[in-house]
Amino acid sequence: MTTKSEVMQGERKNTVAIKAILKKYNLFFIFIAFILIGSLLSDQFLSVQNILNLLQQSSFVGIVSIGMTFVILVAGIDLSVGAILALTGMFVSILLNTGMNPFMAITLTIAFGAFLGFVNGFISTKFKVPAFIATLAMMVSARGLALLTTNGEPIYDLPASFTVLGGNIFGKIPLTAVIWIVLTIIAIVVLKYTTFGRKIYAVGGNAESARLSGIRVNRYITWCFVICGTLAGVAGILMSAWLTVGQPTAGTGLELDVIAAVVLGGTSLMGGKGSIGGTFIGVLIMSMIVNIFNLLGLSSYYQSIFMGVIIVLALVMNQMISNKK
Amino acid sequence: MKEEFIKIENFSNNKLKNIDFSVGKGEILGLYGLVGSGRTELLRAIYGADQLASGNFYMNGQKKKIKSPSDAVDIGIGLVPENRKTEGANLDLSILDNAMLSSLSSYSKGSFMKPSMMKQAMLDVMKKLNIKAHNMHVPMSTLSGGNQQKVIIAKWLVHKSKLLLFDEPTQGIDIGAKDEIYSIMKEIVNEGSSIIVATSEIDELLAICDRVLILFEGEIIKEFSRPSESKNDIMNSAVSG
Repeated sequence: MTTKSEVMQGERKNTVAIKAILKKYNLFFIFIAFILIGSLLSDQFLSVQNILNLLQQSSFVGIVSIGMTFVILVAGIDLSVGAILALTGMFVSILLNTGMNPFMAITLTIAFGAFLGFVNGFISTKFKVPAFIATLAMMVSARGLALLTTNGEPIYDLPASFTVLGGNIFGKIPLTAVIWIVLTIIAIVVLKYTTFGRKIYAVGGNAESARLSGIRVNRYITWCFVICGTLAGVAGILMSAWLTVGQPTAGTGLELDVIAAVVLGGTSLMGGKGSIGGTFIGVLIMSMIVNIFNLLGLSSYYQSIFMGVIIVLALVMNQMISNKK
Repeated sequence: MKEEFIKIENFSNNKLKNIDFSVGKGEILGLYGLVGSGRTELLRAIYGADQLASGNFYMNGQKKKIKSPSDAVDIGIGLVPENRKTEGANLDLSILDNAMLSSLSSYSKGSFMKPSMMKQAMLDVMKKLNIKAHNMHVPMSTLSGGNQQKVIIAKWLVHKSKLLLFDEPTQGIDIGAKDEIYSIMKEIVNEGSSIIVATSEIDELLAICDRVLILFEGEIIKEFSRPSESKNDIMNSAVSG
């Protein structure tokens, strides 16, 4: 026969279990909540066309956010991603205008993005400059260089064999979105199943103890910046293809959207905690908010305020959850 | 006299002055001295965690260049640091991850980790060191101090390190776990590895060390080859130099 206290203990265990599930999957619940809100507020929200639009719009921030996740996981930050996107977008356009074949132009541009990321990583690790400052300097320099190339003018006449990358495949599906999803899957596999991924979490969680365990900490931090620069370069290439012009002002303010998405997705700015899957959902949630506002015809100024509120709420909730542990 | 394994020659930096000594195979060498005498600094210098102004390191007669902890780990040295929570352990990672952290490439194919190999190795070492935990996936932070220290030691056993450096190995650990760690250290050297242990606890020193070096203001001032017979001399030398 069960006593009253045993029954109460049983109930307490159930509520603890439910609370644990809520904590672990809270991001997913928020995601579902926004889908429900969106579908209630507008009957267009779940239409195929709207979903495809949403994926297309998210893919640039999405691709860059993958790289930013790596950097933030090792307790770094990269403020230069928007500028790198613009500079690589101009670089590939310039190369294409010299008559270079698209394959070569793209390969060289991706290498250029990797190089810019390497510079960020090298300066923050070898010279002990805080990543905030180093990437801020890169942001200003890269943006300046992008504008300098053409005196702020766009580059037109990109070949169709290149701009096709900004279009659809199988009729309706945006290629940039497919690339974003493929890169997301690769990144998830790398972080979860490779020794590289394990070391990233170790470095981010406690860099000194990782160093004393024999991990070459600076090397891995630099690699994260290289990945971030490379992916910003990929986004820059795809942006030029999609716009069909090289635009030196592209990606202005992108870094803030990207960092917001990564943080919303549960990655901690202190390093060592987070996931690519979380970032993916963070990007989608932010795009859904923009999408819902557009469908409702609300001004973009309200969007910005709402976005800020959401980000603060997400940070506070994450803090409360980690405090309770 | 045990066969020579490690030779430290003329180690100097801003905290150490012309340190010379050797460590034999299967030996536990103790470093004893006051706070600031250079015990931690010497261990860190050997490990490549701090820079040396001058000095040579020999392993099995071969000169080795150690410029960072990664170099030290690569040649089979492991450090169990003084600050368990901030330097020894990664509290957010699981105990499995902590124990495997220095050996990831040995338990992977290409870059991909082999979870089944790691699991087996972890089970073996948890049994050997009597590590008490719910399972191997719990965060390091959930373990007691003594069990955390065992996981850190496990890291070097998994890596098959031959020279282990201990800095205050049982600080903040309960009596039962202390004794377990002493037995672990003795078993490690019985299997052929060597240990250098820095400690400020005289009874710990006498319980485990075969030989003791006294450090005073960054220099080695005395050596005791029969430490258990010289407790008072040891303590006096440490204090008065």
